[in-house]
Amino acid sequence: MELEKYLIPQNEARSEFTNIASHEMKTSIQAILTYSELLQNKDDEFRESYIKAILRNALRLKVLSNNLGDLTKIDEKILKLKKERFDLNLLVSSIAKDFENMVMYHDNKQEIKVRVISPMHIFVEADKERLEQIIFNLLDNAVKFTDKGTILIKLEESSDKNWTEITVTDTGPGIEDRIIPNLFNKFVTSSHHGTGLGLYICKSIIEAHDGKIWARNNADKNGASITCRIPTNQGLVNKNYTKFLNSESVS
Amino acid sequence: MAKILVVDDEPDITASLKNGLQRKGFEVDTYNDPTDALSNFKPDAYDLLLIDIRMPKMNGFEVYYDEFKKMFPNLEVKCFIRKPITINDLVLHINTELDK
Repeated sequence: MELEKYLIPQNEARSEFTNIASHEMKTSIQAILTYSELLQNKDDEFRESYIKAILRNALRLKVLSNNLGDLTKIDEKILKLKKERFDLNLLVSSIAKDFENMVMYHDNKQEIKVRVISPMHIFVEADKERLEQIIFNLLDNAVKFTDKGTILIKLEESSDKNWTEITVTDTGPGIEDRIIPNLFNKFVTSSHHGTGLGLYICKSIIEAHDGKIWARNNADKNGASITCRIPTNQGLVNKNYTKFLNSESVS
Repeated sequence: MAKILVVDDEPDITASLKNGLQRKGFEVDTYNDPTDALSNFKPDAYDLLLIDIRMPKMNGFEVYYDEFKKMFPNLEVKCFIRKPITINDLVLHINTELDK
């Protein structure tokens, strides 16, 4: 009986997710199909906007396909991290610039700015590609609810250098109170566009780094913030650094 | 020239269908928000309505049964069209329904 109680909502959620994912796919394919047909007319003055729309929808399909792949890896517990030491400020600044351009080009949101507040260098030991995926996802999430204004990415290191926090803050309408406790659960979404996988995947990747992720509405009712905290792995960094020094001294 | 109203929450869908159907000789109005479509709706202004089913504020069934059908009891659902569909196939559907 207990098992049924658990399984039925899970099955309902999965079935709803299948409907949403299928709708996402159909919507993007419909747009690509129709715009491709329109592109066949070589004299059409709006050809460039059709190409942008095709790219935008192809990217939507790419994200959906990657998310489905990640979901399988997470559910089967085969998500692997490739950790390396890198400067988080460099990575985040480069993502912020790319994202701002992408939003301007693909979504025609000219009035979105992405600003990074960070110490000059902030080194972490983490999976660089996966952190990039998380930051992109958080920005993408923020931009869904923001038409204009600044999305802020703040990087902070604890004074003992044991952990690093990445906080993405938007100026949208905030998150409904009823959604906050379940925001990082599988299939939960407050946007009509999206499958409710993005934040679940972010949480799973952060937890694989022994970190934590949480969300809150901003105090002035001006948007929401999502924070990821990951251990800086100072021990590992020091060990590698010592190794590096040793090899230097040998040469 | 037949006049068609398209209601779909996805701007890429309404924009591309509008352009594609106009090229095939139809007059087309589009709305992304069904409530806007309802508040601006004028009787006898359209020969055919194309309404998306899965929309956030009101789904297509609610738009039809709770609103349009109450205002215009003679309005009938002619067919369900499965997305994705090419403009050419959509035009075939539209012409078949308009010719009935």
